[in-house]
Amino acid sequence: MNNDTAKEILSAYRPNGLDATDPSFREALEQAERDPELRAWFAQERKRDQAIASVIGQHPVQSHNKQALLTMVNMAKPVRSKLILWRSLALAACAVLGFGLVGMYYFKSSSGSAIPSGVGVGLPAQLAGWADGIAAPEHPSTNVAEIQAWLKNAGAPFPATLPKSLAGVSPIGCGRIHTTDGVAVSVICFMDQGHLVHLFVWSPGANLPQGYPDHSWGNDHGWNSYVWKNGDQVFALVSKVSQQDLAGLVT
Amino acid sequence: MARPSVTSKAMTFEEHFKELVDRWYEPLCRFAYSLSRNDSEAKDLTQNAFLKWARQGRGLRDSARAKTWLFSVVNNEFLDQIRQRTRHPATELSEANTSTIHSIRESNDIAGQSLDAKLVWSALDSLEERFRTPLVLFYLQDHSYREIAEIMDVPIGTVMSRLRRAKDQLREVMDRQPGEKPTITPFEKEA
Repeated sequence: MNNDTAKEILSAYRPNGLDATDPSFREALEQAERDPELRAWFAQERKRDQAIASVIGQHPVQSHNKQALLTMVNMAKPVRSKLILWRSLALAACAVLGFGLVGMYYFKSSSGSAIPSGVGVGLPAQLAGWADGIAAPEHPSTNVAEIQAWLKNAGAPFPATLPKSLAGVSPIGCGRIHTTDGVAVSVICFMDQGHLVHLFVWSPGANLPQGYPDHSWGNDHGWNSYVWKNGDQVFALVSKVSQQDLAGLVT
Repeated sequence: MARPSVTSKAMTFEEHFKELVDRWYEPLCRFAYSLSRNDSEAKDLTQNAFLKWARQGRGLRDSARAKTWLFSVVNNEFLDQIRQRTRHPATELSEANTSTIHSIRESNDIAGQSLDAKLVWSALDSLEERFRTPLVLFYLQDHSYREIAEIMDVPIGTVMSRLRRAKDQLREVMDRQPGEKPTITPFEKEA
C-alpha cells in the first residue's frame, strides 16, 4: 500500500477512535506507525478532524422540540388512563344532561348555530372535556400551512390568522371535534415549552351562548381556557399552563 | 459455576421510540441543519423522520439499523426538497440560498487548534452536496464509512474517495486568507 492509498483510507478514520477495531484500517494504521511522513500527516489530520467535529457537534439544538415530538407520539398511545377516561365520561354525561334540560332556553333565540356550553357544566368544562379527550392529533404535522390545507380539505374551520404569539409556537397536529349539535369545530394542537396548548376554532357564524361575553377566562379540572370572538368566528385556547402563560399566547 | 443468564425485557413501542429520540434527535437535527442550513427546516426534517419511523419503520427494532434508516430518511427528504425547489424556483428561497453567513460565532479550542464556527460552516457550504453530506456524517462521528455508504446509497469506495476529496477542498477553503479569491478546482469525474 502506498501512502496515497493509506491517506484515502485514513481519511475515513473517525477522530473519536470508534474505528480502532475495524480491520479495514489496520494496514493503513500500521503504515502510519512506520512511515514518519504519513504519521505526521495523520496526526495533523486527526487534530483538524477533532476541531471540526467539535464545531458541528456543538451546533445548538432546541430540547423543547424533542419533547414536543415525544409528546406527539405518546399521545397516540391506544390505552388512555382510567382517570382521563372516567373524567371524560363524567363530563360528557353532565354535558348531555345539562344540555338536554336547559340547552334550548339558551340557544333558541340565537340566529346562527350555537356553541353547546354544556349548561350545568359550563363552557370551560366542555372545553376541558374536549382537551382531555384528545388522545392524539387526527392529523400529526408540525407545519402550519399543511395543517391549514388539511383542515380546508376536510371542510373544517381554520382561522385566517393565528394570534401573533401563537404563530411562534410549534404545532404538533390538528383534528376535528365531533359535536353533538353538528357545529363544525377544529382543534389545532401546539407544544409550548413542553406543555400542550389546544386552539379550538368554530365555523364562522357559530354563536356563543346567550349572555356569554366576547372574551372570557375559565378553568375546569386544571384546564385553563380563554374564549373569544373575532368577527364572526369563535376561538378558545385551552391548556394546563397558568392563566398568565396562556394570556401570553393570546396577544 | 453456571454462567449468568442475560435477559432482556422486550421494549414497548413507546420505550423504543423514546430511546431512539433520546439518542438520535440531536445528531439527526445537526445533520439536517448541515444540509438545510436553517434551524426551522432542520427541525421539520428531523421530526418528519421520527414520525415516519413511528408509522413505517417501527419494525426496525435493531438500533443500528434504525439509526441508518433515520439518517437516510432525512437525507432523501432533503434531496426531494431540493429537486422540488429546482423545479419551482420561485416558490421558496431557503436561508441556505439567501445567506451563508450565520450569526453564531463560536470559538473552539480542541487539541490545540482553534476554529471559528462561522468559518467551518461557511467552508462546508462551499462544498457540493455530494461531498458535504458524507463529510458531515463523518464529523458527527456516529457513522462508520460503511453506514455512510448505506445512508447515501452509494458504494463504499465512493464514500472513501468523496471523504478524501471533501476534506482536501475544505482544508483549502479554510486555509485561504481573508479576501483571497477562491481557486475553483473541479473534481475529477468519479469512477
